[in-house]
Amino acid sequence: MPAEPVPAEPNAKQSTRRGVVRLLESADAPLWMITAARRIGYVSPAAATWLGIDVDSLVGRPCSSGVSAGTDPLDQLAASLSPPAGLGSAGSLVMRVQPMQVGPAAVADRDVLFTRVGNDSKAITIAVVGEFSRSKTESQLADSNIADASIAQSIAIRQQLDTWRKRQASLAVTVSAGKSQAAKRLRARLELVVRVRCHVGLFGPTGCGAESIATRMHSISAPGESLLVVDGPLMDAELLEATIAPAIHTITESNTSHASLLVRSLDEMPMEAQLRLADVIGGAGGRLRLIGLCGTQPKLFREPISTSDTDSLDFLPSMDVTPRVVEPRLAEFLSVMHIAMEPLRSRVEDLPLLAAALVDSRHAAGEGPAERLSRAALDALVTYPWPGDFAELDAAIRHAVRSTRGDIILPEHLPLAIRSYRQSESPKQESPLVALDDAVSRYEWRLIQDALAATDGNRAEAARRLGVSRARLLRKIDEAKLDPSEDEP
Amino acid sequence: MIEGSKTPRHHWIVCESGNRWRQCVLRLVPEWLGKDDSLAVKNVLAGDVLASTLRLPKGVLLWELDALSALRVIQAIASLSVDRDRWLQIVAVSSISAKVHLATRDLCALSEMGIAAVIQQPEELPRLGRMISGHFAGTHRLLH
Repeated sequence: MPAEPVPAEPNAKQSTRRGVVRLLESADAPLWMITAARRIGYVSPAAATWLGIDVDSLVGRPCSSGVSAGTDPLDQLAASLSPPAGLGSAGSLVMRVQPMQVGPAAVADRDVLFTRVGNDSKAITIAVVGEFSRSKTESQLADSNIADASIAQSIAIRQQLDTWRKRQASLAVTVSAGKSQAAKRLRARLELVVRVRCHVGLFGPTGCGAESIATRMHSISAPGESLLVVDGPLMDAELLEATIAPAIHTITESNTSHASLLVRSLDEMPMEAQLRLADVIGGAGGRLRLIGLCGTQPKLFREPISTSDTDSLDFLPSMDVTPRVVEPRLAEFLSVMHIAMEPLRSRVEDLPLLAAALVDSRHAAGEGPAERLSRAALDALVTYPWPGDFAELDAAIRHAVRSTRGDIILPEHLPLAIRSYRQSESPKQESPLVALDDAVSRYEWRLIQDALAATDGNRAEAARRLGVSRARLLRKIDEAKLDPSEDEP
Repeated sequence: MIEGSKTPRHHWIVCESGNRWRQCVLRLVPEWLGKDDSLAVKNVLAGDVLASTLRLPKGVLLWELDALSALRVIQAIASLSVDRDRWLQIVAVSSISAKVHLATRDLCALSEMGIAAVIQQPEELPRLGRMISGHFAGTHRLLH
């Protein structure tokens, strides 16, 4: 089908356009424009020089939030040039822009005045670099009597996140964002861990984001190396061998090849599987790396299984009960390098930053229009105790972003459990964890003891009274002898 | 140790118009309490603060500061800092309801009236943990 002929543009119109472009290009201040579709529409030569890129290389790239959905460095640079959240309400805001570095030369941070022109879906944004008072943002908000003071806070949060993204670059795993001591320790540890390829242990509560750290860490410290994920609690020795066969195959193929195993809940893996895993890793001579995800660290190091215990482990053919301990050789591997993750409930200072980073990611991925959290929503996040840790926060933000129709997340957009949570003055005593099997065994043992006492130790009679065979009763008594928590008959 | 109490009790009095800072104290303060310590939080009106502190030997007073209550609160702070030197006073600037924007330099002036710290958001409370623990520990030492 022949293309329709494009009508020739009147010369006067073309001339006006050229004039506007010449005018923009004559400005020595770096300047860029963002289209209504939130993509870079124009970059001035001065801006290109400042950023160390070609004028056209950013045009058309997404520029909606501080983080890019893709990994292309130019996409990340475009994202770092995006306006602060809340510009739609404020109309004009100043923010310190910290562009991501794409070329060899470092790019200086500069103050930028963002101005929104137009209404809602047709609004474009003009960004101009200049010398602005550092307090201008605060005074702008105060003078213009903007009721929602969360805009000022969201700008501060955005600047902190940009600093973190720029400094951490490829290591910017969301869970490591924050300004608390715990976050700083985590980042320092991460920087150390990615420099060498060695066995690593990550210790933290369930849902603490250790797996995302482990995979990112692996991709940086051992690029191109295969990573096999193993579900620790589901394994027995045979299943483990079958699961890790591809990794073993990789390292036996050639003497120079390497592979890594990421074992989830290693301390919940049945002991027979742990013993097999230790054999395999010990025999691979460092070419098979172990990345173990465990619960709390003290359990691992303060209660190691002694050699004598491991010798007698054959009495535990069915380790249904979670062992929560790590085989000594595995503990030795994991102690080479380890990262301890603090629970989210003790990282309250980091919550606004973590939540904002998650909102940015969801916004950049196009999951919803929400680009910031209201102060009331942040309060709800801060006062919630996060039993599900970082994974629960991630789920809550996903829920909120998908529920929000506007650009701001309000408390009513958060999951009910979070928005309705109220801390009581006298918190209930935490009920002790009860292992069902242990409780049943203890109850069973009390019945056996009563029956034996009533029959003067006659085991056959006791078995009859209990409605079980004599052999079964004897087996129960033998099992009890192995358990130090139960008094021997 | 408080008379009649077997465990050290950390008393907080929160003077605010809503429930925001009380919730914040209830959620965040237990994080740095000792295993045997307990927390008691009471919301009172500005006019009743003096009477409430009379019944208790020590604690922490958290004042919410907004445009409407600023003058009355500042007067109460100044008077309490003289009469109740065993009470640690903290000012929380409410950014959620206040239509006033106080600059940091204005807030610093409050320290001259006996304010130990100024916070603007609930998540800032944990950074005062060490100071508040020290306040209670010091008072315990004095009482013993």
